[in-house]
Amino acid sequence: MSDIPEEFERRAFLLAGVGGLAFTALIGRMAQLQIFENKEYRLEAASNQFNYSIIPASRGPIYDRFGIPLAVNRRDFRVLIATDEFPDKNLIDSTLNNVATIIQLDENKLNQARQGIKEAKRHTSTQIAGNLSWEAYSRISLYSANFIGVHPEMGESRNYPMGEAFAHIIGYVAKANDKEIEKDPKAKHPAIRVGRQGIEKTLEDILKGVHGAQKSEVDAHGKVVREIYDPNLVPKAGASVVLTIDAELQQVAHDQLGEESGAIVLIDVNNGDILALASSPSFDNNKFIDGISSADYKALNENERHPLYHKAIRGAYPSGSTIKPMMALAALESGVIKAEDHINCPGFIEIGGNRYHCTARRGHGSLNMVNAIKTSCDVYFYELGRRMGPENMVKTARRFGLGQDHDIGLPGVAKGTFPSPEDKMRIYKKKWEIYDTINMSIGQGLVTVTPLQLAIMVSRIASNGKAIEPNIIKSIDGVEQKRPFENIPISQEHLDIVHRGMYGVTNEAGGTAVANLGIEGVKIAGKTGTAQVRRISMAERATGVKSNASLEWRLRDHSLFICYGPFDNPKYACATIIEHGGFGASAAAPRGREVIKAAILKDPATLPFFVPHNKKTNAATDDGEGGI
Amino acid sequence: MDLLPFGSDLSENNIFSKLRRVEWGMWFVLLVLATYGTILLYGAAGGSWQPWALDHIVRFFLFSAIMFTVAVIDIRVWYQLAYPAYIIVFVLLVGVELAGDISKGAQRWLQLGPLRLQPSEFMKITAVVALARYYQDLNVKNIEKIKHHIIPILMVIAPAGLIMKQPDLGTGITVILVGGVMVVLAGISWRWITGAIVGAVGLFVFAYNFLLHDFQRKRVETFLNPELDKLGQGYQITQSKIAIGSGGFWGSGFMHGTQSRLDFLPERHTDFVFAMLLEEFGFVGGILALVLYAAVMAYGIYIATSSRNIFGKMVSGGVTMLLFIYVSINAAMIMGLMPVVGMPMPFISYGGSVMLSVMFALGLVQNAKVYRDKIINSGFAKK
Repeated sequence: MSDIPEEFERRAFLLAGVGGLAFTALIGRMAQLQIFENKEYRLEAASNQFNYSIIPASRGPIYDRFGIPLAVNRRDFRVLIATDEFPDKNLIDSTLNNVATIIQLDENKLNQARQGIKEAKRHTSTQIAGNLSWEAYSRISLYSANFIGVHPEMGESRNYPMGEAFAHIIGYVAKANDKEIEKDPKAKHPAIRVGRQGIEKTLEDILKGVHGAQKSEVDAHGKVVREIYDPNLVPKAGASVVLTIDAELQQVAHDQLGEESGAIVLIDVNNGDILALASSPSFDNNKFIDGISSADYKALNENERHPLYHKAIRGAYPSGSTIKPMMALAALESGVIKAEDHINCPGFIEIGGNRYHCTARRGHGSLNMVNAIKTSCDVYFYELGRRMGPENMVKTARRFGLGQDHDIGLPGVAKGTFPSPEDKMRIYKKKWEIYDTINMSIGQGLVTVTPLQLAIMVSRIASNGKAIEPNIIKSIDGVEQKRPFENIPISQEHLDIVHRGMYGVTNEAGGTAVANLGIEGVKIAGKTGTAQVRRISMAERATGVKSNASLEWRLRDHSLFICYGPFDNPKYACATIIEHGGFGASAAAPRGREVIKAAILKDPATLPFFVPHNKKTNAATDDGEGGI
Repeated sequence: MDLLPFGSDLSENNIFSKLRRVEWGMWFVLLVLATYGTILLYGAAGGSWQPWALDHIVRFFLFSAIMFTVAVIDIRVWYQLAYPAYIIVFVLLVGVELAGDISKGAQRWLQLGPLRLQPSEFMKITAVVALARYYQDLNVKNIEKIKHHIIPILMVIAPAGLIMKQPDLGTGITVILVGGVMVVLAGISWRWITGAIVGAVGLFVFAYNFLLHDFQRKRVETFLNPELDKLGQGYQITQSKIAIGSGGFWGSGFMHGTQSRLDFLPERHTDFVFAMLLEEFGFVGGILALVLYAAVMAYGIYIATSSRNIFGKMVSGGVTMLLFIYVSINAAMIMGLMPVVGMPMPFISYGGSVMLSVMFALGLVQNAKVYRDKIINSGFAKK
């Protein structure tokens, strides 16, 4: 009997030992979870505990130089649906129907919302409807507590009050794409827009501000227990941007272009401020904010006159005769001719076995430089080109901004082409020929320029060689954006000759664009251009060159005009191009003249520009605090 | 009436001397544990005595009275009641099988007139007592022979099978483990123990594939990989682990456990209360709780080894094992080491019936202490 308790005792202690091991294992597990993996679990606990609802930052407003709003934020009442919050996905549709009844949403828009939900990424809210009336918003705010995942929101939406006149400059915003959301996850909020074109695109980082969030503690059922203020999550409004554009003059330019396809650029010659930068036809950029319909987009995209195309900075055209004043400077600077030297124009010139014609069939006779510019004699400039050769032409053209990049603060600025013989070899793999020289001398052939480049060129001539680098951004958050420039080393004597010639164009008998500006004592100087789009065959030349009116629109010549004024004290320079507008003096010159006249009359350079007050807080939250 | 051992004083048989022999240290540890539980339940209710904390501590004192009553009743009464009680509970288990109520997908309750009984809960104790009696009656000479262990093994497996069929996997396994430990303690040869372990593993594989209900199998699968189904089966374990892990070494502080407060932790006042303890009082608080449980079990082993009768030894050993199973399975479960089975943490989890049964069982351990030196005459039963 005595060995039983002993055996019992042995086994009891053995089992106690096993139990001790089991407890040690439990403690080990506790240590693993609580000590070694504590950090990971704390993070998981936090993501359980907190929800972040995004508060979009107020997008920076854009003004013209005098404070006229070009891009603003309108108060927007909207209602969002967060499908993530639905425990039962089958409830989404019935909830949607209930919301539609409350805010009186029509079937069409309801279907759009359904589509949006279907396409939405995970963990993203979808907008059911925006732009609600105050009444509808109040109603849905009242009832939303009864629905899971329905969030009425008072926010802002982008709006472009000037619409078409500024569509190309301002560009537009649209919903963020996947890449942008990856970069800034807050951009998934359905009300957040990202710049897609124009200033909205180039200054996206400045305009967007910093999106914030409302941190709230939630329980396991997704119910908000309390809201937590986190100063790091307060949204910061985007900076305000002031452009160099004068909205009034921009409107004038826009109106002047009317239904034509073309562009007008107006520059302050003394500092390079772009006062007007109009392209036509234009479009309503407001349509893009909430996503343009595919029918509308198709119509814009397939329009023969390319309304979406920012012709003023992207369109590259043959300069035609507008290049002649600069060619005259190039010839004078290279020393191949003196201003008083005469060249005879019999109506054509024969070089290298080819005959090159002048616009005047019977010729201009013997001309000096001033008269050659005034009458736009081709033969005179063919001869200049032949004498100085391509290198001299290219060298001066570069100084005046042709074939050069110009960063004016907008996307898609074209460089144009003004190739040297080496460039031609590099790009086209072809040797420079004499006809390239001849064509270049009158701005045809390999030469293409943008309206912006034309304006820069004329501006640098008008200012006697100030190599202004235009920029469209006047100030960011009230801080002026300085653009220093150098002077082109060029003889004043030579410049004066060119000024005289350009004066003749618009003011003297025999000039190609003589007209009275209509301002007492104020004259402008200018130069017309007619850029040939099609090749004129020998046969056609023999039977007589067809008039533009007889050709279909897209084959007609481009009509160009550059000018500056006032002549005595140049302040403004303007370049105008009317696509397929025919003879330069007929389509482009009157329009350019109206624009520069408006500029001279208003004289915006003498008026103080707008300084917005520094606004650091988010307008949306300011309103929110005092709100409903 | 010559039942007292030679030399024992009649005065030792009065109520006060019996109460003096009660293991008060063990009761004090239980009081500390129950207080720990009360504090947690007070916090779980957001700093309120209602609805759990007050109930909990009042029950503890109420059931302490029952424990002491059980402790001072003559050990031979329990010895006598062992088989009848076992048979009654077994019949009730059969009754559950035939006419039980179904709640939460399991057939566990039996309605007898005004009484609503859960016989499986009683079986944990009656099996312990019945096995204790069997070994008390067994001739020591025969202890090595396997045929003498067949009856107790059947006495364990039969009710355990019925319980698992309800299905109540947790209680079934508990009965088997407690009974198994008692058979081991009684002195079954090591060869058979090894064989039983091998057999159990084989049986598990067999049961997993053929006997387990779908939801039980799912629990096992969830246990193996709770991440598979974050919102369904694995949700409880995942949330429990987050709560425990986020607590860290010192814990997030009393009533500052975010996971418990915000309802992420399931059943935080019952089966998952230990997870809340670990979140709010951290690793340190968890060690404290385990030390307290270990102390209670140490008392149980001490009483088992010091008892001079087999009945007392076996009862103490069995009940200690029962407590160990409660604590270790619950802790393992909430820490994601085991499938979720309905197993509360004694003295900390809220719930009357479990506390009653555990304290009744510990009353029997106290009883073994009080009657430590009593020689039970096996013939006594046969008279």
